[in-house]
Amino acid sequence: MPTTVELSCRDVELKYGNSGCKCVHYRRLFAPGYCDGFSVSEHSPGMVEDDETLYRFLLPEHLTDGPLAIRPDAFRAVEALGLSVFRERHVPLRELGDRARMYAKRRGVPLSDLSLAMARCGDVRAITLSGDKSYSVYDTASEHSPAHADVCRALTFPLGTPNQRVHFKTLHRELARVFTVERGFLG
Amino acid sequence: MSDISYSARAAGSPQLSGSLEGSWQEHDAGEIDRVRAKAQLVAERMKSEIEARTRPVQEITHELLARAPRRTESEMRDLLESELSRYPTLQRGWDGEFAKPASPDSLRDARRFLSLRPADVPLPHPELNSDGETGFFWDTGDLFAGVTFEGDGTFYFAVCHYSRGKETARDGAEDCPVGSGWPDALVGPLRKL
Repeated sequence: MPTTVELSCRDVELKYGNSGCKCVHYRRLFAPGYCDGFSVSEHSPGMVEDDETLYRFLLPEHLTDGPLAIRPDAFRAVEALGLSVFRERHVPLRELGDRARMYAKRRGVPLSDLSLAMARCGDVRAITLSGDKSYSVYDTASEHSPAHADVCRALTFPLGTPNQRVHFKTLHRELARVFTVERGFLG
Repeated sequence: MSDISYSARAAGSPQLSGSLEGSWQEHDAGEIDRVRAKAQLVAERMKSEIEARTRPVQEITHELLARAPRRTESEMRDLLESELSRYPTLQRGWDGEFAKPASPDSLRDARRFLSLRPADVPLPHPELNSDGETGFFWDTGDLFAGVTFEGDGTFYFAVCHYSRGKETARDGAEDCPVGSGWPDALVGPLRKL
């Protein structure tokens, strides 16, 4: 029953949302991409649509100097914690400067160090490995963060599949490629 | 778990609006306005560019990488040393609440691996992930290769070939002893760069 499934996706978020390993549980309990089709948070304005723009701030440690600015392992959080992004549609861009300032302050870095990364949600969800859907985007909003979402690796391999980390490493690179970066965007 | 949840708020929520505003305490009004205006301008431009794309983003990235100028060996060496020296200075939480500092064992293995580099293989770009693992990578658009050191004396690596942004072949291995040198499956493609 769809209602039961929807509650189950929400249950995962409710139970493991703050555990530091929510992506592991989504992968364990659902087929890749299944929970993309449901809202997982009661505080969310709704599931993340493919045509939404996602954004995230980046530190110098996430970037290299080439045109593919984001380092392949910069989005490692997709493995367990969940890669935090904001849904532009639900966060006015006029607040971006305030958010950037808060982000920099929390990490003790100058505002000029921050870069801005943006991607279309559909590009993230379209990443595949041998034809299999690789990433999910969940509307992991909280009461005070309604536009928050998480990107998680959704693809799994059967137990005992060799070289899994090799495949995941290439997937991390694929994810980095779909984000557009503006370095030092407030500098 | 969000590492940026502190900053989001419901539209019009005076309580959280206060926390966002509070981050500006040490700035004057002119500076606040300048940052807000610039952030909005950049974000709107980026969003417009993304929405205006008529080709897959991977294809665009591939072209940019293929056209990018290469750094000299000397420049790469300086970059590598500068980055590897900086990693141990990063504190727990450097990349969000759960981010680990650089693992000394991983860094040791990375440096040892680098010291065994065949002379005809170009120097890599360094990277550090939020699990504290040091790695290296090369990316020309047509070829991506990445190596990660977990700090137990081994590494894993991946090599991917691309054509017009689409993957055409993948190779790699796990649990490779650092002291055994660079695997042929890694060195072969890199020698052609």
